[in-house]
Amino acid sequence: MTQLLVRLRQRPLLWQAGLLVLAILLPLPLGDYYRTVIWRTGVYIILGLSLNIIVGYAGLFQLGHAAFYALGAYTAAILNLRLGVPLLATFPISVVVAGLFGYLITRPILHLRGDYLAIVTIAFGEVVRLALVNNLFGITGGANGLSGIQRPNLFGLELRQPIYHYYLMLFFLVITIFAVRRLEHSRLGRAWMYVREDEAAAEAMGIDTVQVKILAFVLGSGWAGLAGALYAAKLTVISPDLSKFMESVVMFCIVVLGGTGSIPGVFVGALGMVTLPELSRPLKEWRDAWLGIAMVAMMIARPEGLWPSRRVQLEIRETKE
Amino acid sequence: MQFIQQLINGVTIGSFYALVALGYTMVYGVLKMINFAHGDLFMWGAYLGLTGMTLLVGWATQGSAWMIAPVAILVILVVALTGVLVERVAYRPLRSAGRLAPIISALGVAFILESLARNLYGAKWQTYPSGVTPSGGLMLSGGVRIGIMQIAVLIASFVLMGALYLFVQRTRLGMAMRAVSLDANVSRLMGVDVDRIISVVFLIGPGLGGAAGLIVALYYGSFDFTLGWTFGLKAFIAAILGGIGNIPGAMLGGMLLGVVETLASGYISPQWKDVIAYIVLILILLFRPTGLLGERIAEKV
Amino acid sequence: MEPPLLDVRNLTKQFGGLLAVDRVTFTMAQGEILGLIGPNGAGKTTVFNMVTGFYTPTEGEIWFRGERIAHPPVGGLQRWQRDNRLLRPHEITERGIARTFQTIRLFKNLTALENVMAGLHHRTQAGVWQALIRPPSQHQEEAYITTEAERLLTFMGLAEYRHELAKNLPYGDQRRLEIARALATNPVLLTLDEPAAGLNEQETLELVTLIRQIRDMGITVLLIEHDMKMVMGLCEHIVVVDHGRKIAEGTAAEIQHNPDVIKAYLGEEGI
Repeated sequence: MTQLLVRLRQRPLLWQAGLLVLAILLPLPLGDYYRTVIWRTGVYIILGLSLNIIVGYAGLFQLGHAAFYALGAYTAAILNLRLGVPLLATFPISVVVAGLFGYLITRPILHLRGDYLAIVTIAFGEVVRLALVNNLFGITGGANGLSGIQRPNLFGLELRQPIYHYYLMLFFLVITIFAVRRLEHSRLGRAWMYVREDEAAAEAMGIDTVQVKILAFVLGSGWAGLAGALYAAKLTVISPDLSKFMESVVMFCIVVLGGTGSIPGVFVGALGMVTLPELSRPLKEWRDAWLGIAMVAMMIARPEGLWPSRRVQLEIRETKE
Repeated sequence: MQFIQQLINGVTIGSFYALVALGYTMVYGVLKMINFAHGDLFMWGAYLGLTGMTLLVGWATQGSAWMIAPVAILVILVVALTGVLVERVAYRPLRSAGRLAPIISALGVAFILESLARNLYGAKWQTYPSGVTPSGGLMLSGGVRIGIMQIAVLIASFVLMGALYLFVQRTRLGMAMRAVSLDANVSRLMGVDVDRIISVVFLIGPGLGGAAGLIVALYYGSFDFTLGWTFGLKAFIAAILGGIGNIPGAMLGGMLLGVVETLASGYISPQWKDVIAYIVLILILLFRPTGLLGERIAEKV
Repeated sequence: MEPPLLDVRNLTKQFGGLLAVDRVTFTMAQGEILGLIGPNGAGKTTVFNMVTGFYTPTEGEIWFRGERIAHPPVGGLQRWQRDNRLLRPHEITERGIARTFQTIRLFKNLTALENVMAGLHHRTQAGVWQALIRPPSQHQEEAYITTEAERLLTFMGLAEYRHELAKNLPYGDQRRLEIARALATNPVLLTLDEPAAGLNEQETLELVTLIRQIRDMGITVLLIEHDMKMVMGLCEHIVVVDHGRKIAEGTAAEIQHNPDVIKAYLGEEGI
């Protein structure tokens, strides 16, 4: 088995292409319900990857990530409903708005130590939710949210069925993975690693740790906005629940349980946190309890997550020797 | 005067926050971790009290104030022991696993406790049997009214807080707790059984939280399973306000938050009741993250 | 006469009631090796932390290459004036001062190569855009970073460890790696905080040779050390501090016979 992994590792293009083909073919044999399930999984993978930049690469505790998800969704919705902007065109704007909010909230809070940072992010998530519920500026529609969002229109084809949304999501997912990988293996990605390992030492080496952390936050938050826009496009109805703490926790767990800092880890995390519960709907009432048990058990048995970043590399290198 | 009325109400709510905040602050003091499950332990106090009360009232066919005592003892015991159990099972194995793992584990415990409550009791609003709590009140000058319940809960809360304060300041066990808060490793070297102290903290903190749950439920008469979440977060903010890890701070923070919240709700708008806590939190973290009574810690290079 | 490279004037640091550094004054010329010595708790690392920007002086100033790099905080509106801004550690590093730490602070879970590459960060440019698009300039820059880092590892004799996690290296090599990382920032002044701590006889001799080599490369060295033999053999210029105050300054020979120094180290009774 490890021999196979070693061979695959040496030909990344091979198995990446294989996965892509699999992903393209996946929805075809499935019914609409399951197509929505894999769509949801994909959206959460995008969210997980965006949060991974903040938590996994830069090592910041972000427990309010859902706020940016919601901000992206609401931006898309409001632009579409109030200004008639075609939905696909709202996507980049959602990214920018979410990223902007990300910048606004980080600047004042970055000097906080880990635990305090976590608390502030929780608070921010709640503040966003409450602002949306209380119909701030009269545009957010209150507790019931906004509805009647137009379907996205791609070259004249109206994207109505789940399968089209799946492919739209897949398109952005591939771009996200590509971008995240490039960031990881770059000067900036290394700077994030250094800051995560030892911030004072990184600072002493001439790295502007504040700027590096802000970049991680803004990039991660902006990307979450994209996921929000995708959500608005498919469901056409959005509510302040998008910014619920539970959502942020799910995203956080996807990153940490799956394997902090690693892209495959996020996939695993999303499968566990999103796909699995969807597939076991009959157990719905006890779902949260099982989730809680899984969280505790995972942390005790394997706190670094199921597929952490360095592990695979080291394992396979040992096999080579 | 409306102001005095609001003040009294604020102090009452504040004492609730204070009781719950103590649990957060004590645990953070000795373990340097935020027990996200604490709010749910508080909530279970309310639910267990409900069961206890319902049983007693069913047996006696009529509610009466004396029932509070046995139910209180039961609730405090069960919740305290649950706290110790949670620490043993979910937190102790993770003492050396970095800072992320305990957070996730605590959230997991919170989910388990919430889900248990929701499934065992249902998601609906629960009401305590009537007749247990007195409903009369005193009229003070200026149209200010203070209910007998208010007086009772205020006394109860202050007695509990006072007892805790004395315990921490005057007993050997309390001193050991303070030592472990300052430096667990040095305390261990000095012969303190750190594990036992931590267990004691998880006995007292959740115990107080459970008591608060019962008190709050008796005071309001009804609640639902979101109680743990909303109250827990605010109490948590109160603990930070006072300086997390600082016991008098938690008491002060709770009181302050309760008063500010009630005043804002009364004078500005009820909608602000929820938001004010977050605003307080953000302000505190921006300008004085170590809290009102907390100590400054500089990082040694 | 040429202005000094490093000019420490009346440097004072107070922590609450504790006066950790008390009006310490000394200068360093380009190319010299200065040893800052003194009993434990004398305030040496605190001086270091002020030179490298981690602490702010309560009083006094530090000038480096004709620029004021450390001064007490300025109150009121004047604080926002450009010259009165307090420099952060990374800005001090950008100006040419690099450091190592008393307790080794390598990036433990990263490889030796990655550790050294950290020092090259501030000498390079690539940002988000370049990371995503990867224009030729980015490729060139990455190649440069890698070759430079490799060169430094080889210079330090650590090339075999390039892909080894820093925490797995033997202790002595970890210390050398930390120096390599500091050198990667291309410093004019290299400050070493107890680089010989925990090294055996042989390793200490190698360290002395290394420091001389570094000086011959044109880098000025400021070091804190407890190993007297090493300091006396290596440093031409020595500053002795005790209880935060400078009690002696001079050459090795002068210091060795200074009665105040002997008293500080051995106490009234001994000699």
